[in-house]
Amino acid sequence: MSHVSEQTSSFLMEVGFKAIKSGMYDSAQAIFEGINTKEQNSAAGDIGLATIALANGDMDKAISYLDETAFSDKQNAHEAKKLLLIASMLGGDQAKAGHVHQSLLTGSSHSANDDEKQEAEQFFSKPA
Amino acid sequence: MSNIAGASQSTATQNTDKNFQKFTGELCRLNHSCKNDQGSSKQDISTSSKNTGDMSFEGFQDNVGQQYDLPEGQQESLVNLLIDMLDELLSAVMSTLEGNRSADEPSQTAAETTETTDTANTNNTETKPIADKETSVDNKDDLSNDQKSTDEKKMGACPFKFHDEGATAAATQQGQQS
Repeated sequence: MSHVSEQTSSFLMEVGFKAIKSGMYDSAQAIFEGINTKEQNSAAGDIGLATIALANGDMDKAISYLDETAFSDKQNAHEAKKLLLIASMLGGDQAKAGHVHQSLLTGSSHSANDDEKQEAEQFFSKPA
Repeated sequence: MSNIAGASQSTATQNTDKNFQKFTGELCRLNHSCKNDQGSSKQDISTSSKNTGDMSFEGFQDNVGQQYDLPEGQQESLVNLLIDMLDELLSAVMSTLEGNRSADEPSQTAAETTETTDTANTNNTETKPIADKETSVDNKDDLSNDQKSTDEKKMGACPFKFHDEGATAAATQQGQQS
């Protein structure tokens, strides 16, 4: 990873996303893992890895990358939370989508009350 | 990648929520359309004229295609919305990473200056780099908090409203492109 570590992380994010758009998921994976190592106080690497999972249609994997980092104190946790909302909605976990949505509305540390969760879950719900 | 690499990072910051609203709005609309009227959602997403070219989101496209029973043209339209949203979201991440780098650079430069001028006056040069760095980091945090606050205000105002606005904007934009 020596070449990766010499580049700026923002440039690597750009290259990584370009690799995803070109279907080069393995290359993108290596880049975002490198960013994760380099930027441990940032959600950037996890966001990139989750983006690969989203592109693959693997919502559970995307959620697994984002679940922890979205509610952490890392930089760009807010963006991780946005992606987690998308992955939850597409993964069919409407309860989680409702919780994440409420958390986006009210701030990272707020836990939605039952009424808020119910309202959000109802909003995102899809009939079976 | 021009959207991400684009020169206008400030524009990306100002519009940090636009495509996110469009995309979540579209998903919500699909869910609600499925609930209320099986047919309408399929008609509401206009076929995108954007050329997806070498983009590779087949897994995602299959997922939404099966989940919402969308024809291929509308699946591609949703993929394009996702990519626009990801462009926007990753731009925000890159801005933060760039901000970190900018915050580091003055302190490094100052540190180098400190080394060269140390022989002249040790006491005066020692405190400057720390003060510069702290100011820069503080400003960055303020901006980040302001943006987060704006995002939350937009969403908090009325999720139903912004989703409707997002969907309308998306439909308008796609209509103009086609």
